[in-house]
Amino acid sequence: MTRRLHWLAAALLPVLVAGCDWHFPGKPIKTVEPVAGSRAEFDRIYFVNCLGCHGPEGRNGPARPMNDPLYLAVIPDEVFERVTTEGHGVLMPGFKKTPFGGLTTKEISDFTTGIKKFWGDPKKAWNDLPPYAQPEGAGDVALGGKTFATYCGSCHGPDGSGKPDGAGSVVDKFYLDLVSDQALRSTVIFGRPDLGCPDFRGPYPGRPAGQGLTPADIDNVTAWLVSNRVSLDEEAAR
Amino acid sequence: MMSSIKTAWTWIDDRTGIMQMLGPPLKHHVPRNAKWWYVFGSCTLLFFTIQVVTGICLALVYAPSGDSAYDSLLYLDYVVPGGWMLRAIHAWSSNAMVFMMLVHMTQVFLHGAFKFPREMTWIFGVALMLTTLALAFTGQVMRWDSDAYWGVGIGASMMGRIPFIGGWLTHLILGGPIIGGDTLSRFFSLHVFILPGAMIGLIGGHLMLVLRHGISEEPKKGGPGEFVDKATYRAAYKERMKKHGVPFFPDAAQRDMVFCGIMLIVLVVVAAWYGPIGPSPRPDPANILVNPRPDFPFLWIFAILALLTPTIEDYLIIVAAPVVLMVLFLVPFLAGTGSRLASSRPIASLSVVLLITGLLVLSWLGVTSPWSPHMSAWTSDAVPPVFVKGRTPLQLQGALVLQHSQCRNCHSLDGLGGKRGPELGDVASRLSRDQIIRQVQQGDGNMPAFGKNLTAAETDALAAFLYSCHPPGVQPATRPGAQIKQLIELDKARANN
Ligand code: HEC
Ligand code: HEC
Ligand code: HEC
Repeated sequence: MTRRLHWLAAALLPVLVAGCDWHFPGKPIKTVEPVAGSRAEFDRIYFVNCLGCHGPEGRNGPARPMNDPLYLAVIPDEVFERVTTEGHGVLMPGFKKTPFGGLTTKEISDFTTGIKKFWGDPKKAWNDLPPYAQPEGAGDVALGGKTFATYCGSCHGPDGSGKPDGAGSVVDKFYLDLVSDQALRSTVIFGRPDLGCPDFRGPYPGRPAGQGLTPADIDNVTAWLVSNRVSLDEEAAR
Repeated sequence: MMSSIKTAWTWIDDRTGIMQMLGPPLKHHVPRNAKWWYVFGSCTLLFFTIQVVTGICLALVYAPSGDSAYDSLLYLDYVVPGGWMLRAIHAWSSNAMVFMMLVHMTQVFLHGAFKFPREMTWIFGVALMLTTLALAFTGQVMRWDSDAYWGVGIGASMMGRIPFIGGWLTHLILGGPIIGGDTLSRFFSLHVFILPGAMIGLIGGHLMLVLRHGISEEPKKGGPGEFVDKATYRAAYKERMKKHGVPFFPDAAQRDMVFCGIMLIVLVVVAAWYGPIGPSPRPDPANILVNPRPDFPFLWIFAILALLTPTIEDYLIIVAAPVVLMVLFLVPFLAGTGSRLASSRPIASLSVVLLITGLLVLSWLGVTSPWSPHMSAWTSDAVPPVFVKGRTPLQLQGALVLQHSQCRNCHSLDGLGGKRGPELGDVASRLSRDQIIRQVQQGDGNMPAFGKNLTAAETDALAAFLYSCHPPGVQPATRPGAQIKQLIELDKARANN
C-alpha cells in the first residue's frame, strides 16, 4: 500500500513540475495591451477616464464636448495636457499618476496627439481663429453686455437669466461659482454644438447668416459673463 | 544501493538521535476507531506547509511596494516560468486551508473532542483559526488590486470603530491615516513574518497538546468515552489506549496520507484549471467595471456590512464580534463534561447547522449582490444624453457634481452606474427638492453624509439636476408621496398600450 503510494508520488512529481508551464486552462492569457498612440488606446483612455463627464463619443455629456474639430484646432497642446494632468476649476479632476491610478505623462501626451488626430480635423486650413485664452486685461464689460443681448439674448434672455422655452440662465450665482473664467470663454468661442448653443461663427438667431463674434466681442462677452459673479462667502456673511 | 542508504541512515540516526525524538510521537497510541473523521487536521497542516513553501518562492519575486506590487504579479503570471502556477497553488491552497480548518473544527465540535481534558487544545485551535483568517486577509491584500484596496478600506473602517484604540490601531495597520504605500509594507510584514511566526508557534503548541492528551475516540452510543467525567476519564482513556489502541504510525497516519494525497491532487488540478486568483484591475478610481469583492472566507462579512445600517454595524463590531469570539474560546468551559455524542447535544448540533447555513447564505449573497460600489463609474459611466439635453447650465453643473463627487459609484442613472443605492434617474418623482438636499447633506443608512464636502453652489446645482430627473409625464414631487397617483396612472396608461 505505502509502497504503491510512493511510486504514484514519484511518477506524479515530474508531471507536476513539467506541467507548470503547460497550457492548462488556468494559465492566464496575457491580454493584449493597446499599442501606445493607437486608436484603441485612445478610446480606452477616453472611455475609462473622460466619458463620464465629457460624454459618450465626446459629445452630449454635462461637460464641454471634446469631439469638436473647432475646439481641438484652438486649444494648445500644452494647455490640454496641463488641464488633463492637474485638473481645472472646481469640477475637472486631474489625472496625474499616483500609486492608485491616473495617467502617466506619456499617456497624456499620446492622448493629446490622439484626440487631435482622431477627433480633430488637422488637414483643414482654419483661418481667423480667436485665441484660446483671454488676453491679459482685455474685455469691456459694458460692451460685452450689449453684445450678449444682441447675439445671445434670443435664447438666454437679454440679461442672461434664461428664457422659459429657450436656454437656461448663464448668470445664476451658483452656476458662475462652479465654472472657471476659461470655461465661460470656451463656451463663448465654441458654444455647445451638441446642445444647440452656437459657436462664435454663428448662426445667431435674428442676426444675418455669416455674422459671428469678432475676437474683441469674445473678450467683451467673456468679461461681462465673469462680471456677473458674486462672492458667495460675502453674501453668506451678509 | 539499498544497503548503503540504510547504512547512511543508521549513521545519521545514531549521531542525531532523530528516531529517538520522533519515535514516541509517531508510535503513540491512538484509538482504533479513529477513522476517516480524523484526517482534516493533518490536511489543514498540509495546506499550511504548501503555503510556506510556495510563499517563500513567491516572496523571491514579489515586490512589496505600492508602486510595483501589482506589476510583480503580472511578471509572475506572464514571464516567470510556472509563476502563474505558483500563484494559483498559493491562492487556492489558502482557500483550501481555511475550508479544511473549518471542517476540522466542526468535526471536533460535533464529536465533543474539546471537552475535558482537551480544553487547551481547543483554545489553541481557536487562536489558530484567527491567525489563519488573518493570513488569508493579509494575503488578499498582497495582490494590491482593487479587491485588496476595498478590503483594506472596509477592514480599516471596522477597526476604526473600536472604542478608544480604534483610531490608533487603524493608523498602526495602515501606516498612516489613509491607505498608501506604507500600508502594503505593513501588511507584507504581517503576512510573511509576524503571522506565519505566530502560526508556527501555535501549531507547535496545538500538536504538543494533541500528543499530551491523545486523540479522543469517536463517540458511539454506549461506546467508550461517550461520557466525560473529570474523575475517571483520564485513567480510563489511558487504560483503553494501552489495551485497544494502535500506533499512530503507520496505522492512522496511512489514512492521513491517503487523504492528503488526494487533496494535493485536487489542489493541483483546481489550480491548473482555474489559474491564479486575481489580480483584479488595479486599485484605480478611474478603471472600468470594477466590482470589488473579498475572497471567499470574508464574503459573509461583506454581506453583513452591506445588509446592515451603520448603527447596527457599530454594535456588531463593538459588542457582537467580541462576544462571539469569547463564546468560541469558552466553549470547553461552557460544556466541558458530559456526553460527547452529537445526538445527545441538540443545542450544539443545532448551532452548527444554523452557523453553517448562515455563513453559506451570506456568502452566496456576497457573491451575487450588486452592493459593492463601482469604483470607476464616476469617470466612465456616462450621464445618459436624455439627462443632458434640455437641462439648464446650472443643472449641467449639477450632473458634473454628481460625477465628480463619485455619487455614481453607488447610484445609477437609467441603470448605468453602481447599484448600492437607489436609481436616481427618477428620484424627483419620489423626493422633493428639500428632501434631496437633506439626503445629500445628512446621508442616511448606507449613504455617507456629504454635508461638509460640498459647497453651497455644489449642493444647489446637484439638487437642481436631481430634481430634473423624473420619467417623462411625471411631475416632480413637491410633497413626499404626491406623485404616487400620477405614477399609478402612468402605469395604467402603459399597460393599456
Ligand atoms: C468629473 C467630471 C470630469 C471628468 C471625468 C473629466 N473632465 Fe474634463 N472637464 C470637466 C469640467 C467640469 C471642466 C470645466 C472645468 C472648468 O470650470 O474650467 C472640464 C474641462 C476640461 C478641459 C478644458 C476645457 C476648456 O474649457 O478648454 C479639458 C482639456 C478636459 N476637461 C479634458 C479632460 C480629459 C482629457 C479627461 C479624461 C482624461 C477629462 N477631462 C475628464 C469635468 C470632467
Ligand atoms: C440658439 C440658442 C442659443 C444661442 C443664440 C446661444 N445659446 Fe448658449 N446655450 C444654448 C443652449 C441650448 C445651451 C445648453 C444649456 C441649456 O439648454 O440651457 C446653452 C448653454 C450655454 C452656456 C452654458 C454652457 C455650460 O455647459 O456651462 C453658456 C455659458 C452659454 N450658453 C453662453 C452663450 C453665449 C455667450 C451666447 C452668445 C454668444 C449664447 N450662449 C448663445 C442656446 C443658445
Ligand atoms: C457609498 C455609496 C453611496 C454614495 C457614494 C452616495 N450614495 Fe446616495 N444613497 C446610497 C444608499 C445606500 C441610499 C439608500 C438610502 C439609505 O440607505 O437609507 C442612498 C440614497 C440616496 C438618495 C435618496 C434616493 C431615494 O430615492 O430615496 C439620494 C437623492 C442620493 N442618495 C443622492 C446621492 C448623491 C447626490 C450622492 C453624491 C454626492 C450620493 N448619493 C452618494 C449610497 C450612496
